Order: sequence, then structure tokens, then C-alpha cells
Amino acid sequence: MTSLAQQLDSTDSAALPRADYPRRRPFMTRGGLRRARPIPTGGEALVRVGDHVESGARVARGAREMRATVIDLAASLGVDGDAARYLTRAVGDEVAQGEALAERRALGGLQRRAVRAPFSGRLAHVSEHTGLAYLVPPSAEQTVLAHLTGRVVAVDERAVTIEGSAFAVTARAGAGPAVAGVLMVAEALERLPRDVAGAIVACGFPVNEATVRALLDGGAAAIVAATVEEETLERLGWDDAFWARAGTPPPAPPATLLALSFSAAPPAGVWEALRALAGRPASALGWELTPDGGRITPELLVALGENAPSLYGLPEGGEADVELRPGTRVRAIAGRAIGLVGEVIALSPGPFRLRSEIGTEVADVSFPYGVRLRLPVTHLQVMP
Amino acid sequence: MGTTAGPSGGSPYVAVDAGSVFTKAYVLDDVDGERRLVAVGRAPSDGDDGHPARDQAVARAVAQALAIGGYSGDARTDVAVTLRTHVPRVVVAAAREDAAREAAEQIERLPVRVVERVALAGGAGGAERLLGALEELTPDALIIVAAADGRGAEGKATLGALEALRFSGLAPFVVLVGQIPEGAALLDGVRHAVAPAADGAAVAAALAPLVEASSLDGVRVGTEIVAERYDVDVLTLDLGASHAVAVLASGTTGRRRVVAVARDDLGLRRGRPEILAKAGVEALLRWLPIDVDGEALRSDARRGLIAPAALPETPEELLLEHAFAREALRLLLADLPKGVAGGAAGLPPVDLVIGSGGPLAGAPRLSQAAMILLDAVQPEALTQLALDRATALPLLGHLGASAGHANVGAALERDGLLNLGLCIAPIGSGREGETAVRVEVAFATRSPVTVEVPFGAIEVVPLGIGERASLKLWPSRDFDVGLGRGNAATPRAEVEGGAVGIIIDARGRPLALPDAREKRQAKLLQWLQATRAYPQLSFVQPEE
Repeated sequence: MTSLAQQLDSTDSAALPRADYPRRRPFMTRGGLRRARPIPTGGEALVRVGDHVESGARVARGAREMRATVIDLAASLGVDGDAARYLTRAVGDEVAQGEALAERRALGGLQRRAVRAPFSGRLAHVSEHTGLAYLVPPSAEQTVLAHLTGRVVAVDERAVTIEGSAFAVTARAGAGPAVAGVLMVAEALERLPRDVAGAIVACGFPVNEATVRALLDGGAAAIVAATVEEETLERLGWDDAFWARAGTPPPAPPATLLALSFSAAPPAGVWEALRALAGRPASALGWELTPDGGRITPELLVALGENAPSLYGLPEGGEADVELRPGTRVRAIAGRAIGLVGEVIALSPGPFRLRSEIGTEVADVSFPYGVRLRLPVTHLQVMP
Repeated sequence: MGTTAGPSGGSPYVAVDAGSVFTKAYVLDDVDGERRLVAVGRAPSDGDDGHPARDQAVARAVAQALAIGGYSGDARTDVAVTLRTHVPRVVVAAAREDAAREAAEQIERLPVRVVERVALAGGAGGAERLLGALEELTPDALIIVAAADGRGAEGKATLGALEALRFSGLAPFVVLVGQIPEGAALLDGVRHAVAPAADGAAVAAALAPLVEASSLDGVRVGTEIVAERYDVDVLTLDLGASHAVAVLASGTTGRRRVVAVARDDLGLRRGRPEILAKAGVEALLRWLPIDVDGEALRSDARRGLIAPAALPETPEELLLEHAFAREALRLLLADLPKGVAGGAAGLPPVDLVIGSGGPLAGAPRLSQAAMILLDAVQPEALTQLALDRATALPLLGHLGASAGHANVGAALERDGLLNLGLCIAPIGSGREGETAVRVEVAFATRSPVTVEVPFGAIEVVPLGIGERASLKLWPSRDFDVGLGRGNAATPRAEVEGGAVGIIIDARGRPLALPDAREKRQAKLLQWLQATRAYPQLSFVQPEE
């Protein structure tokens, strides 16, 4: 038997692994959706099964313990080791900023040394071995918003699950927590909406620094960029916010950010849908983790409820997985056709050799103006 | 459990390597009485929306591997082991700076990444530094090297660190190395303690829960298995989409030393911005025989983040990817512990270089993988090259670690590793065009061939897999092939052929590229054409 390593040395080999995504979901969808909102470790749910919640409602909360600041009591008091006997507040006490934690009088009371709290917090511990004191600031409250307007269908120790009817669009990248607000649309930089405070502002043009500055100055809760210029990503430091370095949480941006595409033009159809939904309650989620450390898909949800607009024929489909097959509408998310939206004409039955000689599954895709391209299937995302 | 019948009627052993960009599935089965690797399946770990779909990726990769292997039945076959590609990030703390540094150097032999060293001495300052590092870096593990004397100032500092951990707001995995100072009752939350020495083996045992079923640890053990089986010094370079690992196994049986370096920021897809930032635009451009500007490099780096499962469509995009691969490996090798320095790329001579990981294994032409390894490592004298074509080294290492090295039979090893060939790289420098080395290849079944390779050139003498030949080497007086300058060499054993052949790399050590762009590009083209590494580039017109 020839070794597998040798068999793999042929693009036409039947031993070559196939390459396609394990799950395909339409880039945007409408209909009945379900979202599990994670409860922070040690936190609690604030809603019950059957409750109706708006996207901005708090459905769970938790407390994030902050790290202590270390104070060298012994050194400050000029004693060796056991500083506990000079404490003026007991271990476990809440103390205010500037309040004395310990005091020592020397030279018959002529000299007085006091150690004061640098901030308000809890005096958590004073070490009898090292003379170090640990002052812990108040815990930071973590709140979890519903994100999806709808009805609570399940609550357990890990998550609150909500079902509701909404329009959803998946972002290619996001930063910042879930925020709720009214959806506003901006057609052009010169025509930014007034009074964007607390709103989720969707921009149908390539977002640049001036747009971002104007929206942040106006107090927008979230910026949804149909597309972002590359220079803008770099200049605003959004690279770091969208794609945090390994092992480090991304910096929190001043507003939640969503980028729907990185091509020259926004994907066809999304802008028309957002325009039709302007004025409705929405929620933008940029960067959140599940309790087991997985990342939640960044997305924009817009509540539909009753009297939902037609959304230009966007079919009601929910979020069932879809297959790539002839007739499927797709957009190119990588490679030479990036940003273009077209229709799959045919799929290769096996690996095809690209110009780079890499063997991979490809699709023949028909684009506007009669353009036909053969593209790797991993460069395509399904459109509704 | 699903029912799965194989071509031989047996039930296969299925393993999964869950990478952050690609999930691989492997099928092993008994073939003619031997355990063999019969198929590999692969799927992106994310969905087309760019977001994790891990369970679906495993199911898809397993189903694909079973289908390729000709197995019938459903795809719900039990997965015997799931390897994970995760570089544990570790903070090392010790009472004194030098003790922290020494400990870090020992720990860096494992496929973990030391992200910070903290000196604990200095009262509140030491504890504050530790809490600050934990808050900022959120490591997977904290390794505290305890002071020998638990009662002195250093013991106090250690104790202070242990106390401080209770108020860190985090619960990192803690490994305590060395003696536990007085006040051991304070070790609430400390999950593992190791005594007495801070040596690599003790720390390895303590870190086991972090690296268990780790594909990176599999690469480490796999390298060790190969080194022991053939009693050779082996360097493995494993370049993934979001990690890079180098493992060096050197020494003789019973006295083998294994060191490793792992980086979670140098992967060829998700790590491209870091590679670009650390290596610089010029370093990347020097590997490209085509004009590319810095902005295009930055865009390319970002595209690795936006769509990590995307593929190079054109030869030019492939060249760009391979330039990033060369620099990623060079940055990685620069991180190998200082004690193993030597050679042109700062490495000691090795007998075998193994390339592993998707970007190398998936190179359309094997000579591309060979060239990437040669440019990154710059091996000297005689070095065998191999490629983990099936990306199975982590699995072979895991099998060796869990069931014993002997359990990874030679046939199974050959199923994963492909011999690329021998590289002859004379050490030295000379005048462009003047002969650097003359090589006679005496084939077992055909007439001998003699090749004179000038300085600055690279040549390939085909010697296919399964073929054998004996060699005679005559370096010029300024060059050394292992026996001193100008001394001829005749390797005692015949050499085995490989998928690329015998590569005679007379480009000099260290490898120097012309500074002038046009000259450099012409030189690169000459090398790439000599090795037939790439398809014709678009600006090179075919001859009429």
C-alpha cells in the first residue's frame, strides 16, 4: 500500500480532503430567531420564562471581582512584619478614599504615621507574614441585555433563552458589548442624521474617520458600517478592536462597532433592507464571550413585530443552515472577486487546480454584466 | 456509537485535531496486520459567516475522512481523541529576577509561551507587579518558583505572591515549583504543586492538564520519536494558521535534549499582522520576485484575519503567503532558547528538518515546502528534509505519548511523513559563478551524474522515493561540507531518494540576498526556476 503522504502528492488524488465550510447560513435573514444570552459566572437571571423582553432589557447580571491593590503597610509604618496591630479599620471593612487604614505613633506620640486608602474599597486582607495589605475596589457589575426582542423561553444557570421575530444581519467583525437603540440610517457623510444620541446608526457608505468622529461626538450607541475603508481600520485602531491578539481581550471601543463587509461596496440588498427598517428598535452586538470562552457572532438585530415591512422580497426563513448549490446567491468574501454578489452556476465534483496550483473545491459563479468566475467555495458566503 | 465498516471489515480509530482555523480528522486502521493512517479529512473550523462552528466542523471532517477511506455507515463514529491547538500562555514568577529568568528558560523547552517574568522581591512592588501581569495578560497558568529558604526575604516574597493570588480577581492555573514556604495553608486554590526541582520534567508533569491532548505537545513527542528511532538530531517546524512551534531534539539515545518554542501570534493566517509588524515590510519583500508594495502587504495581512480559510488563487498570492511563512519561521527560530544557538540561522547542525502544519503540507509543489524550510533554517552541510504531508505529526506524537513510542510503527510514520530529499549546503562564501561544490551521484540503477554548482546557485538532482545513491562531495577550498574547508567527503551510507531529490544549495551560509531590488528579484527567479518551485509567473512571458 502506498503511504498516505505519497497519495496526497496529487491534486487529482481521491485522498485529498475536500474543503467547504461546515455550516452555511445566510448573511442576512428575517423571521423567528432564538438567542441564548449567557449568564456571567456566579451571576443570576433577572427574568422568568414567559416574560416579554425588549432588546435593551437587562435579562441577567453578575459581578466581576476586581483585582486588589497592594499596600505595603509595614514599610509605610516603619515596622517589621506585623502591621496588623496598627490597623485602624478591621479586615473586611469597607473604607472610603483617604480614610486611614493604619496608624502608628512613635517618639512618645510626637511622630505619627498614617496609611490612607488610595481609593474606596474593602480592606480584604493584611498579611501577618509580609505586612502587606490588600485593598479591593467594589466589584464591577456586568449586565446582560436581551439583544433580541421577544419572549423568554428558557432560563437555566448558564443562559436566558429568548425567541422573537427579527431581521438579522451577520457582521464580518465586531467590537463592543450588546447595545440597544433605535436604528437610524445615514445615506452619506454629508447627510448624517441629527440627534444620534443612543441610536444605532447604520452607514451605507464606506465609513471613514470623519464619520466615526461625528457619530461618536453625537453619542451614537453603535456604528454599523456596511463597509469600512482599510485606511480607516488602521488609523482608528479598529484592527486591534476587531481582531484582538491571542489571549488578550480586545480594547473596549467608545461605541459598539459592526463591520458588515470589507469590500469596496456594501453587499447588495443589505442597505435596502436597513433603510426599510429605519426607526425600529434594534440591538448591535460586537464582541461577547459565551461562558465557555467561545465568541458570540457579532450581529445587528432589528425587531420586526407586527406590520413588518416587506424588506424587498427577503424571504422569511429563520436561521436554518443552507447548502451551497446551483442557484444559490453568494457574495465573495475573499480573493479577486471580494465584495461581488452573484449566483452559483455549478459546483466542481472534486478538487480543481487553481492558478496557484492549489487543489480545492470551486464554484462557477455568475456575476452582473455577464462576468463568470471560478472561485474556491471557501471564498463564498451565502446570501438570501 | 455509530456503525462503521472499513474496507478490511475492521472498525477504524478516528482522531480529530481541532485547530482554530481548520479541523482535521484522521482515520487509522489495520491494513495487512499493521496499523496505518488511511485517510485525512479537513474542514474550516468556522462557518461561512466567519464564526465558530466547531461541532459541525468535527462532524464534517470525520465524515469526509471516512468517505475518503472507503468506510460505509454513518458518520457518528466515536472520536477516540480530540487534539487541541492551543499555546498555553504562562507567567513565571520568582523571588529574584535571575531565578525567574532561569525558570523561564527551562519552561520554554515545552510548547508553552512565557508571556511575562515577574520578580517578586520588593514588598508591595513585587505582589503588585504580579497582580498587574495577571490582570493584563490573563495567562492560562502561573508558575511560581518558590525560594529555597521559606523564612528569608525571598521566602516572604513567595508567600506574598501566594497571598496576592487570592485577590487577583482571576483564578489562573497555578504550578508551584520548588519548596513550599511556611504558610502553606495559604495555598487555597493552588491546584498542583511540584517538588523539589524546577527542571523541565517536573514542570512538564505539572503542566500536563494544560497540554494534555494538545496537538503542540504531539508535535514535541512526535519529533522525539523520530529522533530516537533513527538516532538523529531533528528540528521540526510546525506552522499553522494561528500558531507556530519549533521543536529541537538533539543528543544521543538516553541523553537526548528536547527544547521547544511555541508562538500563538505567528500563525500564517491569523498571525500575519504580527509577522508583518515584527519582521517588517523589507524582510517580507526580500522573498518576493515580484513587485509588491507595503500597503498590499498590510491588506494581505488583514485578509488573513477576515477570511482565514481563504486560499491563494494566483501564483503571486502563493508567493506572498510563502514569504510570510519564511518570516514566521525565522521569527520563531529566533525564539529558540539561547542555549541551542549555532549555525547560520542561530541553530546547531541538525540531521533532519521536518516541516509540519497546513501551509507547508498544503504547498502545491513539494519543492515550495523544501525552499521555505531551507530559507528559514539555512541548514549547513548535509541535512535531510521531510514533510508532514498528512499533518499527522501531532497525532503520531499523541499516540506515542499515550501508548508508547513503539506503538507508532514505521509504516504509520511513513503514512504521515514524506521524505523530501537530502540538502547539501556547503558552508562558506565565494565569488558569484565560481564553483562552490562538485557532487557525484552514483545511482544504484543508472549511470552516475556529476554536478558542479557555482556559488550563489541552487540545483536539484532528481533521486525519487525508493531510489538509492552514493555521494562524493568536493567542496572548493573556501567551502566546507562538514569535514573542513576544501576537504572532500564521501558519506558512508547510501542516501535515500525523496519527493524533491538531492538539493545542492550553494547560495552561501548565511544566505545573503542582493540589496538591489532588481538584482534580488532576478536571483530569486533563478532559484525558483532551478528548483521548479512555482508555476510560470504572469510577467514571465512563455517562449515562442
